[in-house]
Amino acid sequence: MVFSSFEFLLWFLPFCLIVYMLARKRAKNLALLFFSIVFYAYGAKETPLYLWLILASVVINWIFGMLIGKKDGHKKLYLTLGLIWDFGNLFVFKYADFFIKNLNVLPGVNLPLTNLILPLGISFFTFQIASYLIDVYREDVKPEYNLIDLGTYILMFPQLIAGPIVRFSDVQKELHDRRVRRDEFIEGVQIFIIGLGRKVLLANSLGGLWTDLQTVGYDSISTRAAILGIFAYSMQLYFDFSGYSQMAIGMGLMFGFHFPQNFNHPYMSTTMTEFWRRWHMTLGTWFREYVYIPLGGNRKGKRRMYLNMLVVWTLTGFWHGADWNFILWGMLLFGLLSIEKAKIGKILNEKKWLGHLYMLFWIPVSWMLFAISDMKQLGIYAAKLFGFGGPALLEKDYANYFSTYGKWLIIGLIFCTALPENIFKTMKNRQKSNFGQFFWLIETAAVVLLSVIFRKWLWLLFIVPVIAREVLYTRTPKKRRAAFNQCFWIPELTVILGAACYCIYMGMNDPFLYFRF
Amino acid sequence: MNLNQSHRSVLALVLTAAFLITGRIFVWKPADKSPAMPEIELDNPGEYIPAFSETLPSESTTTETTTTTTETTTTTTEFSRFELIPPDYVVTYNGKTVAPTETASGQDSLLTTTSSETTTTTTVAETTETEPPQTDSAAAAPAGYFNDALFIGDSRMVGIATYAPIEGATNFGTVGLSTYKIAEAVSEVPDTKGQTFQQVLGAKKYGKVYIMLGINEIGMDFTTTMQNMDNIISQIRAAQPGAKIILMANLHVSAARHYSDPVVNNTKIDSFNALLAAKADNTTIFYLDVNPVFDDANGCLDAQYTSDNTHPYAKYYVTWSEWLQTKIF
Repeated sequence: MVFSSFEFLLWFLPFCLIVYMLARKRAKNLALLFFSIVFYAYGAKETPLYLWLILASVVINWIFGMLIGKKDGHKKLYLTLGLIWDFGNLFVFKYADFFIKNLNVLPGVNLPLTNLILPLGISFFTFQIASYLIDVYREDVKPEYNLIDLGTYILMFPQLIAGPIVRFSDVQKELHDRRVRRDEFIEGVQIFIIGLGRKVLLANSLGGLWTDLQTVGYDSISTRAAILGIFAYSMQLYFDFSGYSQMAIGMGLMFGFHFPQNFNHPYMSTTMTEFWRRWHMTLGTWFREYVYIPLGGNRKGKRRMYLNMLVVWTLTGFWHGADWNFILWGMLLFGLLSIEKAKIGKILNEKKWLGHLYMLFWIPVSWMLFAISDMKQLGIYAAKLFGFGGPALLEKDYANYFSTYGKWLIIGLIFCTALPENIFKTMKNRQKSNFGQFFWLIETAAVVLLSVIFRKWLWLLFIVPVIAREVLYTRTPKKRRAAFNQCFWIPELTVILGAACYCIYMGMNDPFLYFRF
Repeated sequence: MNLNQSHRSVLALVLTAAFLITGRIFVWKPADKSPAMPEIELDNPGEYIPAFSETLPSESTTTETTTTTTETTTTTTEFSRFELIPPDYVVTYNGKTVAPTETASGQDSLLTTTSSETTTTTTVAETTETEPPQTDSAAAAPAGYFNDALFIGDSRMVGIATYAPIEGATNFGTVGLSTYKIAEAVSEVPDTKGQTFQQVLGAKKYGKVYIMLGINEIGMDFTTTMQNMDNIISQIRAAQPGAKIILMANLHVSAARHYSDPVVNNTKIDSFNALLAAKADNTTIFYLDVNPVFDDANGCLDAQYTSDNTHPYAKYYVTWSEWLQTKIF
């Protein structure tokens, strides 16, 4: 079940929330676990065995967690066995075919392919479970003796399929005792809708351009179209994944959990190092905590540090997909990060404009390696991108693409910055600053103006609540205005939600990109 | 990002502009433009409920069907290539099975029949890596032959008209076009952009009208679709009394889609094409099948030619267009 589908938005989520709210305190985890299993079962309905696989995985990790926690001297053995099970699954389902294919290249080797379908979210939940076992081993957390609580942590549907990768220590306290505060619930709904809008309105609209280029064939496009295409893909990937993360975080708040932030305006970075501190932050944290630092991090000399980085980035690449292009992508990132660490990082951080320019080049190029799995196609696209690809079949194809997708690229560019969020924050605290008021004025004026210009009844949906809100705001006593501002977003988010639903209804919806990892 | 005072008013303006733009897109939307739709994309066939066993009324007689099966050998043999098709995919026409399900030696019959006297066929043996599809290098049409030709079609026709327009020809194409939508459709191809079907049809005198429709309604009831097709033909007859009508077969989908998609698969496409072929009388109505050019050994669109399993890459529209120019009616 995709978050941006009607069966989820209209049936699953409301029903789940109602049951969850009605459940008694101790039964809340059970309710959440039940719905998570339903969620996974629905997603894995083509391959019912995978449901049993993940359930078995939960039970096995529960047992190993307790065994490790016993401190009877064998905990290293138990940890090893547990990790072998978890990563063994990941290996069999995700990487076996890759290795078989590459071994078959050797003369005399002819192994049959397994042709297994990737279980939904296996890359994410494997990492999550592994973090739990390791944390128990390190005695950072106490083992979880309650199977239902542990199952809820692993299977919790908001973050089950595509992260954020929540570590057990992040949610352990809340797993046992949590309270859904009303303002946090509202904030959760808010974040969820914004995430939905990012996914359905921005990512899907931008994604059309990349799909178009694939349909047309890379060898027929012009250089400018290739540039537009890779920028569109970069933005699509960002809005898609960050939208999903936001929806997960929003739902977490609705259920009383505080998931870690996963994105922090990565495209505003000035170095690749900074980028990876802001992009998919929970994955970066995972690799730092469980690979980089255990290997010695930067404490064992320069040479060892670069070796550790090489390991981390090869694994990061490989985690994203079992294909050579992902390894190549990891290598590129390793190269860039090493150079930044050794030489140019300081300069780029000092001269911001230079850093942005540098990233403007490397972000799309790195995503190109990420996006195209076929090495030959990758070569063709790279040649096109840098202008060696020969003439285009249709000379002015970029003009067509720009006229269709240009507005989305511009809107996407605005939403890559922190600007919209800052404006929202300012508006939320409007009693604190004059500029908050100023934005309100602008917004109300824009709405009125637009209603007059377009004279479409749909604008009534927007203008009535906006005016009503302004009237109510002035009548609200000063000390209650903060609470009132909690609801300031209702007209805006209604529009986002409405537009998103319209797009889903029109069938313009694609599944999330990150589901294939 | 900290906003200092002087920037704020600028930012406010940008915000307003963004509002204006988004407002336009989200809410105030001209009826004829759908900005979020990719340019070349197959219309959502999934929105229709597939009817697996279509039956047609006894309007067109049984004899007609039998004659077609003998005349156009290609269409009948194409069915026999799919041995893995579940029995409920059988399409009945007039109470008779159009697609024979059991096949004795599919491969052999394919090779022998395709080399027989059917006009449109070129044998596609095992294609080697990225070898471009071969077209009949028969005599190309004389210069100016297509000056009075009109091409009507769906996204694949948009592809041809965009990437390899035939010189002199008029094109009318819309992504997702079907016989159900043709009345209100607006052309998306460069030479007739924004015009309706009636406008294009009435614009000048045509000698040949090519129609390529069907893939977008392949999940619909074939009976109704065929009635629609007859309507379109009679519309063309009324507007262009002397024109020859050429019904073009729908291009196959690739094997990946054929075996996974219960609605859009080659079994259905072939049944549909057979019904189109049945309309041909070879004096005023003709049938033209491009599939042998792009098929792989199993009668599916060759996977090398497509990324979405449905539309050929742009460069193969050139091949297709060249192939079309060798066909004279």
